[in-house]
Amino acid sequence: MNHKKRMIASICWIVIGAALMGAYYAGMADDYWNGMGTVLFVVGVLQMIRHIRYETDKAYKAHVDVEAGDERNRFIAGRAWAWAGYSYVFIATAASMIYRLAGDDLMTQMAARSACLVMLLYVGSNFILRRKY
Amino acid sequence: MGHTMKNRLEMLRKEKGIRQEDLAQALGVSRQTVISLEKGKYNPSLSLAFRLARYFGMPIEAIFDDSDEQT
Repeated sequence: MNHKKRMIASICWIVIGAALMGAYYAGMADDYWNGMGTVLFVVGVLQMIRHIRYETDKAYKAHVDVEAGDERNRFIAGRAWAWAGYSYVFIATAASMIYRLAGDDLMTQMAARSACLVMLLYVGSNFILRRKY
Repeated sequence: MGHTMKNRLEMLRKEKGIRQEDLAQALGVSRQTVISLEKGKYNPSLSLAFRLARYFGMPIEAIFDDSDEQT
C-alpha cells in the first residue's frame, strides 16, 4: 500500500472512529462501539501524523523507505508472525485444558476451537504458498 | 534461519575504509542489517549477495563461505 492510499485509510479510520463515538454520545451505541471508535480514531490520527511527517521530512522519509524495504526487517516480521502463531496454538491449547479442569465448558471450547482455527489457517496458507512457490 | 554462512564482509569493508552506514546506504538496507551480516547472524538474499559482490567487485564466493556453515 503506498502512502497516498495509507493517507486515505487514515482518514477513513478517523471518520469511522468519530462516527462510532458520536453514535455512543447520541445514545445509539453501547460502550463496545465507543471503545472501538476511540481506538480507530486514535490510530487514524497517529497514522496521519506519521504520513504528514513522511511527506514533509526528507530524512524521515529516507529512513522509513529503507526500513520498509529492508530484507532483514521483512524476514524478522515473517518469523515474528510464525512465532506468534506457534505461541498462540500452545497457549490456547493449554488454556483449554485449564478451563476444562476449572469446569468452564464454554471457554474450553472457545480456546480449543481457536487453536484449531489457527492450525487450519496454517494448513491452508501452506497449501496456497506451496502452489505459489 | 538455522544456518548462517561465514563471510569476510567486515574485513572487506574496513579494507575499503567505509562505515557501516555508508555500506548500508549503498546497498539500500538498514545499518542493522549490515551489522547482522558482519556478525554472521543473518544470511543475505541472493539479490543482496549479488549487490554486495558488485559493490566489492568480487565474486560472491570470495565474500561468503558456505563450506562450513555455523549452526
